[in-house]
Amino acid sequence: MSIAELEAAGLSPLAYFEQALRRLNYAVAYQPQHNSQPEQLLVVAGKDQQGQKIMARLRLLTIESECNPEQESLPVILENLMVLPQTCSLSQQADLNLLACIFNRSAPIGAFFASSEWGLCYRYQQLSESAWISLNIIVNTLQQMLATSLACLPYFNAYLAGETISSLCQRLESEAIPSDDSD
Amino acid sequence: MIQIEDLQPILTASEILTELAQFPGTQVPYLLLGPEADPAYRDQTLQLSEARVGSLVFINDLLRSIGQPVSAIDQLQLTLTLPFTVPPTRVRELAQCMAAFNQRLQLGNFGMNGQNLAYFRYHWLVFERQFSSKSLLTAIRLAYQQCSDFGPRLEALASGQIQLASAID
Repeated sequence: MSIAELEAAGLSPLAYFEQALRRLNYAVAYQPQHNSQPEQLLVVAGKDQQGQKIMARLRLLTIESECNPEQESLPVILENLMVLPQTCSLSQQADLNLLACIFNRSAPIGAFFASSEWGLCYRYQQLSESAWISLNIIVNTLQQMLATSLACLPYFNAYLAGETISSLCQRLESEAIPSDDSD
Repeated sequence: MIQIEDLQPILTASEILTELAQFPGTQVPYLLLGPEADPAYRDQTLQLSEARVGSLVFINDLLRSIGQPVSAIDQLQLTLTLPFTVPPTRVRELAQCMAAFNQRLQLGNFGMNGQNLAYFRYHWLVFERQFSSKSLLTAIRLAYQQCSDFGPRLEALASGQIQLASAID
């Protein structure tokens, strides 16, 4: 179906992505707009080494820009928030964010962070001319974020299991996670 | 397929200063975004403008240069360097503050490199390098806007002028 046909059928982009991702064997749940909550798509992106589900929340956001004097229509952003199954306490957040900062240097897209609201997360925002974003891009994003998460999770887990942050930082310097110092 | 130098006229037409450059020791081209690149933010960025420079590079160009395979989905990497280095004693607080900001940013994220230099970066996935001028300019302007909105607080925290709680607030 063309985009015009999908729109004529009353299908929103996220509702369409639900069907398309389901056809690619993703477990997906579409949640329409409800009160102040925008519509969103919940996707099981994969599982961690312990078999726990790694969920991604996809939302379409409009750009809030001070630099749009002509009030022209702006591109949109597809926010992908991957929530990792690790739970962390408030006192662990600072160390986890320090680790996140190290991983973010070499993350191919997006950034990790730890927050009291979400716990350990990985977030990427895809800028797009239209809300009908290429499915290739959406799947590629999910795959890259999952792969990056799985590469970094053992280090986060090691910290949560009691390894000190200084020991982890030393390990990171000598192990496979590269540090991008080109900035 | 569009090359990085093809973006230069688009940016120049929008009064964004650029310079075509190559990564040292390679043939990989990138665009240097000059200080005060965007006139819309010239006043706001006066405090930061002296050192704020940015770059645009297609990641597939970098991958090809080291013999790595590339896919049809490329990344246009936009980096803006913030004009300060974080003292080692304040790295932990800056990481906390950046994490808080990164949850709110519309696009991209703040970070610190191995030398504790603060930066903003956005990796934009682009299928076969197809994107509109409008989207490109939106990404760059939004990046500058966010650096203007959040950069001064990061800088003040790094210099010890403010505390973490007031930086995040």
